[in-house]
Amino acid sequence: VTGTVPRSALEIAADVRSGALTARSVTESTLAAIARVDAKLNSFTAVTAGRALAEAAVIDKRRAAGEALPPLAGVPYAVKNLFDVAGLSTLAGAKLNAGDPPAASDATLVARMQEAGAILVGTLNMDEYAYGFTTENTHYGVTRNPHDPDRIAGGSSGGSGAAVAARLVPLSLGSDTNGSIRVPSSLCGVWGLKPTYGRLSRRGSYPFVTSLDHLGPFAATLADLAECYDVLQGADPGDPACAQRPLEQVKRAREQGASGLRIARLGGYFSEHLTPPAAAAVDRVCTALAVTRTLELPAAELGRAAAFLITASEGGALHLPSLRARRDQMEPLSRDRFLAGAMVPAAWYVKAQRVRAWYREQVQALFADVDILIAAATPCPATPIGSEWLEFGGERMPLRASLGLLAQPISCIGLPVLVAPVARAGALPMGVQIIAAPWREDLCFRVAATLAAIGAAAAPLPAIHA
Amino acid sequence: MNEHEIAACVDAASAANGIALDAEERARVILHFTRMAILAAPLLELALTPDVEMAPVFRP
Repeated sequence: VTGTVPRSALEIAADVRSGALTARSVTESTLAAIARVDAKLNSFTAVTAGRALAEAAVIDKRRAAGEALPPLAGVPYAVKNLFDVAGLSTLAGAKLNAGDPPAASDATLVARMQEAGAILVGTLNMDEYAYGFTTENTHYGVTRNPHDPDRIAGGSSGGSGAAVAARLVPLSLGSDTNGSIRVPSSLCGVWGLKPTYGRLSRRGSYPFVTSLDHLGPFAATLADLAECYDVLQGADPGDPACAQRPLEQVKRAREQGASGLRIARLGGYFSEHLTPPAAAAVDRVCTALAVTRTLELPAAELGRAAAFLITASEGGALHLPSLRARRDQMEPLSRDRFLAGAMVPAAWYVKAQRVRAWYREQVQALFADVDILIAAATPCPATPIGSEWLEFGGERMPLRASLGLLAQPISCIGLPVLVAPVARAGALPMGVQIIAAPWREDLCFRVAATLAAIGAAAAPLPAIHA
Repeated sequence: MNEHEIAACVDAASAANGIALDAEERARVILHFTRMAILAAPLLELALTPDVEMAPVFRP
């Protein structure tokens, strides 16, 4: 612990641009902080010091030559280890992938971060093949929550959440199929964005469930999240699901705030699966935004069931060769779920996809009358490592499959979601989902900006930090 | 699906997929499959018109 206030990505970029800092000095202090702090957290699985120093040297040289620097010049960041990083094997959390040939090139989003001047300092821990919400990885170790190292960081992008929460990096990238950005954002108390399905290119990332896979950023400040998201946008023929859309930047949108937007809290399914801390976080946000309406998402439970079955089936099918021959080397916490998924009847899978299409139409109709929906991101704050069950009311559910139950009905139909960290003194962080109609990430940012401006949402600084 | 149907489904699908499960594994897979069958039941019962397609847009 240094006792200094961590610098945001935008502050670092401004200092590098002005010459107050060099990219090299920022990179060296980041690498030192990772070496000092991450042994307590296990958020990183590889530190790319050589690449980082080389990228920093390019930035410093460009500045010395009088060039205008790009928006994230000199800003350190790290990526979930399912992103291709040239020269590294893409682990996707799996021991089976450790012997794969190194990636020949960077994932599209890593290349975009480099174009924006950012410095890649490493890759981050995750649940094997992204099938989990806890980052209790048997091969690479559990990632610990910086706010309480005896608790999980959430998953599957647990390293991405923990590294930002601990201010090892101001920005990270992760993936979200059923909640894997939103769950660790909530449990680690950081800002996270799962954009609209098809918004950001997934080329060069290890897939899990291609019908549902999204990529997105984590940040310790909302302004950093917006800047990072803006540099990641853009069509990419290398990802068949990536939409041909123009850049729709959110930096300016934030300035408008939530004024004039029609906002409702999600009731029904979304209020029935909450522990008291999660309910309190939603109340805090709704009070801050003066939300009085409550809406129900039609058939949310069916949407979740569709996502669950599509996930199990596509995930099981993707890994069938390994399940047949090498499953003794797969994660014991998820391989039985992969096996069961591989056995889902085709009629179930096809029906789940058709229910998904039907459910999407029902929810789209809702947006004629509302702009933003508010719901908790997780049913509870971070749970102790090793917990097996999630309990609320009289209900008991298997924790590792259930932490995403409030996230799944939203990602199932690809809606954009921004997770706002709601911190309460002395309590663990809890995230709230700010949900909009497809392609309206700008509205999510407007509402988040109002919450940040009035202090209702902010990423708390844990005792363990860089 | 009742428990016998689920067990029969898991046995048939594991054979069709070329996966040999030992007894303990089989029991765990049946547990997970049962959880999925419970989730799937209302979804499978939902009546949809034939025009509800799973892939409304395909862009080559």
